[in-house]
Amino acid sequence: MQNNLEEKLKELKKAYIVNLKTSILELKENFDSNNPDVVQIYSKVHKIAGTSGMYGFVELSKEANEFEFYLNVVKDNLESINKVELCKKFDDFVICVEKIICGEY
Amino acid sequence: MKELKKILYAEDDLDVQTIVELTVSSTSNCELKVCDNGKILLECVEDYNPDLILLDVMMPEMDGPTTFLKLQENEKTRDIPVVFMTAKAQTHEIQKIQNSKTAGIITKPFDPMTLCVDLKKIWRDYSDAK
Repeated sequence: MQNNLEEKLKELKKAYIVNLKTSILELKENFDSNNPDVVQIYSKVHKIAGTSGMYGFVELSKEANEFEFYLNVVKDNLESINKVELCKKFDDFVICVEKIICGEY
Repeated sequence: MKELKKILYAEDDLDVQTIVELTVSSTSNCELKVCDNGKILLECVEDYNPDLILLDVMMPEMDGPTTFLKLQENEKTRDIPVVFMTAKAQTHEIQKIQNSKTAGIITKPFDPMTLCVDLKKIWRDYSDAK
């Protein structure tokens, strides 16, 4: 039973990587450094944080959790958002995801 | 102790739904019914009559905590054990859940290989405590 699950999870993992590429592309295309949509970014990062670990992407899960934690605080204090800091953290997160997609983790 | 046979599950993320469905079917004899959010779960809970309810926390239409409150308000559903599934980053959510009358918490990301073991343990502990 367990071997069967492992095999099926491997197949799902491949499909997950494809979806992750699309997700990160959408995030990058929609990111406006002058007026970042924190709620939308949070929603996508939350999803990645919740799913990546299940597929064995431990490092990505950790990075996504940290970024999610930061965004969770920021989205409740939008009037005092530090855009430079947000842009830096966003870029770092995207780099991490792209490394994983390219198999460099 | 009654065996855990039927699980009713509310989760809006399709990836997570897929993994939970795959895990439950591959590693247990349990039946699993999936709902896309808490509102849909409430619509089918009485007819389905599950042994255990698995609830994601963040969902559109109706989130996990609201769904739980509605289940508690209904005498036909208040005694069904509820397990919340929530992301580790949501520490404030986890604290709130731990203070409520839920049977247990599964944090995301969870290990698909041990999910059913964890659910059965929660079920066993809940049954022993009754």
